[in-house]
Amino acid sequence: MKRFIVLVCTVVLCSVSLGIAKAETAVDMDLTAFNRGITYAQMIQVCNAPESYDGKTFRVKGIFNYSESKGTARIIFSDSTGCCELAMMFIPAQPLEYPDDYPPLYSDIVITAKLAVDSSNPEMPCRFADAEIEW
Amino acid sequence: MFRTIEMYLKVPFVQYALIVGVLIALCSSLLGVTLVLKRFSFIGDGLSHVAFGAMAVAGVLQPLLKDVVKELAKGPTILNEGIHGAITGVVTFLSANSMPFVLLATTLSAILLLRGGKRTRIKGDAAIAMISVGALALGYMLLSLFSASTNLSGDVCSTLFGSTSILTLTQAEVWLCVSLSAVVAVIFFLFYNKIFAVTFDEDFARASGTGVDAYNLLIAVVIAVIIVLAMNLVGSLLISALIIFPAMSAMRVFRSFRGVTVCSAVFSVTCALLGILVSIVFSTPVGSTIVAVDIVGFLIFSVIGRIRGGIAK
Repeated sequence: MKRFIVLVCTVVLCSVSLGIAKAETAVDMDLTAFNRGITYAQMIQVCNAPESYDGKTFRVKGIFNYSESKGTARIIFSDSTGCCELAMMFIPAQPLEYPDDYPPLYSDIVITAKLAVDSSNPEMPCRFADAEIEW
Repeated sequence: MFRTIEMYLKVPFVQYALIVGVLIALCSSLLGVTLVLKRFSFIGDGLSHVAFGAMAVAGVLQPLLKDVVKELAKGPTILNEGIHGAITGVVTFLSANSMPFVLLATTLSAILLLRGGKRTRIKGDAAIAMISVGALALGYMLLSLFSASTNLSGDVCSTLFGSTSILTLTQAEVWLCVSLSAVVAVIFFLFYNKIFAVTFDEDFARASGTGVDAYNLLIAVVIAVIIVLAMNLVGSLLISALIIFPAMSAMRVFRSFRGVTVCSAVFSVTCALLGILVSIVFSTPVGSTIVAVDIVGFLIFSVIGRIRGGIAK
């Protein structure tokens, strides 16, 4: 009987932990199913009202760019014609060395990251933090 | 395909784009009939270029206004708190929104071009051309000299062709568009008979006691509002399509003013809805897609008109 109770408690605890772990890595906004025009429009909406999305986890696809002078990685969203672009900085979850650990420049990438708002910087009020990159 | 549309229809800004797009298409089609019949089809083009120039000026003034806001935020000096607060509010609003300035400039130009009515028609083409190209050139020059944007050509392209403008409206802009569209629609329905009279026979309308000058002024103001709103949907260069195609398509099939107006409204709303959905699903520029759908619709209506004309004979 005691062994049975211990077994049930172990199973319940494991399930709860797994559920919590899943919730912590759950994506709040998965935009990978959208085409590039809608992705661009959605990110413009995010930058227009960043406070509403602060701390939310995004999964988005875009084009990779790196500024060697500033040492910052960016993901670029553009509309269907490519004439309008939005570049957002992202900080990888683990320290990475450019260019070995990063994708090729201007390649298609998907990042899963949290949105971080920086109101003191009006030029770039929001960026992605703890980013996991897929390419 | 339907699952894709269903997915996109759940996104809030797509819903706003559809609502605003339909309202703008409706308003522009209603006044489009009047403009086409008064031989002022290209006024939309001219006024949209003025709006572009006004946006450029607003863009240059906004950083200055933001500096003024910072100074005002330090507190009242000469004025009392209430007036200071009101001025701060107005300047803050103008520093973040260019639409009021653009509306004012476009309305003044519309009044200049249209208020004379029949008397203006003699100088109409030349006046439209001068104001149109002048505003476009000055606007582009101001942007290239003073713009702080990192992607100037992209901003200009988006303003001229309306690739994603309708999808990137802020909440305030959506409410402004909806309110102005509602006002335009109400004005048109309330003054339908007078607008009809002024459109078809100004002299008779004047002789029968209708205030023709006042109604020409009203039409001018309403057109200016529609042009500024329509820039968000199809961009400056393609606005004429929203005004001309619905009216011309309806005229292929219907003969009465009422019939043409109703058909024009239904045509415009349907094409705008279809155009926005197609552009969202296939990731094409919104403005050009709507115009492409308008062209197809016009061809269909032309064929229907010929068949009906052939049957009538």
